[in-house]
Amino acid sequence: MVTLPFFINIRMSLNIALVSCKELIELPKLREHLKPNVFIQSTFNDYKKMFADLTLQIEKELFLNRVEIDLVFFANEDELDVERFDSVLKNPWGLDNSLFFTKNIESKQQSVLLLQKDYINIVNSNFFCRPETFLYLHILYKIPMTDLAEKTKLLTRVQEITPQQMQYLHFFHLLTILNISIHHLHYDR
Amino acid sequence: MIDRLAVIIAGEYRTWPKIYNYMFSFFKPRAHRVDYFFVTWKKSLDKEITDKDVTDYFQIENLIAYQLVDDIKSQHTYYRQNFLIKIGNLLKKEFEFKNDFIYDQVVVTRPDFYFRKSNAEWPICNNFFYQTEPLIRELASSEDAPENYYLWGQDVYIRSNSATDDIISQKYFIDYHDFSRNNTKFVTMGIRSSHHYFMARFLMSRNLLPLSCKLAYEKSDQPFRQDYAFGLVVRDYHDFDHTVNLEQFTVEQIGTLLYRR
Repeated sequence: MVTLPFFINIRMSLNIALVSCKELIELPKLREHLKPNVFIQSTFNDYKKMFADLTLQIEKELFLNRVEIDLVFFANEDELDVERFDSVLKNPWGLDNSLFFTKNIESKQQSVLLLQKDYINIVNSNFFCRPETFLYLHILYKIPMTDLAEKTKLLTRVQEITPQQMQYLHFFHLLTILNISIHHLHYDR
Repeated sequence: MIDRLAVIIAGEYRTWPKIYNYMFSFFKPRAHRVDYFFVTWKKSLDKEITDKDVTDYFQIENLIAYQLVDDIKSQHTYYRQNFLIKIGNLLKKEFEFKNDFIYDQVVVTRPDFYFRKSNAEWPICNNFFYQTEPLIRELASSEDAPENYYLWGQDVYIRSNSATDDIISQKYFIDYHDFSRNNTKFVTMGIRSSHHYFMARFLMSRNLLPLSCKLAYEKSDQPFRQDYAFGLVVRDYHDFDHTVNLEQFTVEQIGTLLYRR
């Protein structure tokens, strides 16, 4: 699935922090391939605490240990098809602080409502972004979902969704308010 | 009144021994509990800063955490200042997370800033709002023409709630080249080196709003109030007798005593 030249390219250009919220079966394989400078896991089940914990750990690496990190790769599923991220990882110079990369999901409903599968699935997927962008996720546990939804004028819709969907929307709203775009990577480039 | 207030003092140590008392008495009446976080370089004005240089001044105040920081490569004021602020924010977040609470308001200031108290009420900053001196336009050249002004934000004091402070502290990550790329005129005017310009640009880029906007919208008859009557940066070359109580001077008198910002 992953070709050797691809990973040589990553190692030459990027300092990667690999973070994960749980023990994925294929995580050792991913570590072997990505060879991250930093590897961090959180044991919290609650997604707000999990991101608060992970971001604190990343921030300590950056500012107290002064480890250089170009990109944070969040692994949250065993589908380690990292070649989907190939185009950005091989040529990362357009990856700025206002972009958030996740895989493209094969739903055609994404533009109808924010509640559709594309957005709901964001946190459940692997994703990566610059450290600044990742660190914003710390405040998910400080700003309630309803506050964010009110700001983006989606409160009535939000009330109709399940708690799990709420979690993913929470994440999405925060990025939106902060002017961070979610970029869906396409399979074929 | 604010219940729990965090004050993050981050910056070069400089004249901290001359102003610390004023800072403590400034914040004390504003909250039921005031917690301090102090972050500074290990060296200031060619003097090594020790743990005692920090802890000795906090004997009756709540010093939650402090950090003496090794120098960084960048000599740019913006990055140096915001590196320390970022560490202050990290100490605050870690304390909150470990103790399962969130500060109601957070102030970020620096060790060389003298405040003069005012009786004005502090309006509470909610999510995405901050309180500081208003962003202003600053003239960048000798020619007073509209196109020669640029946006200016101060770097000595900002108040917000805890979540907004977490956003604001991210200003360390500003991409210097990205911000100057789209305005070649400003680059040629030398504005790209102004950390005040970066400060203002960051606040706008993350959709953060000065509290003055909210007040103007909700109570348009009320003028903007800042948290202090006035403030002054006390520089090391202000060779005044620091046993003298600065509170006895008028604004004008103190302006002659110290450099007026």
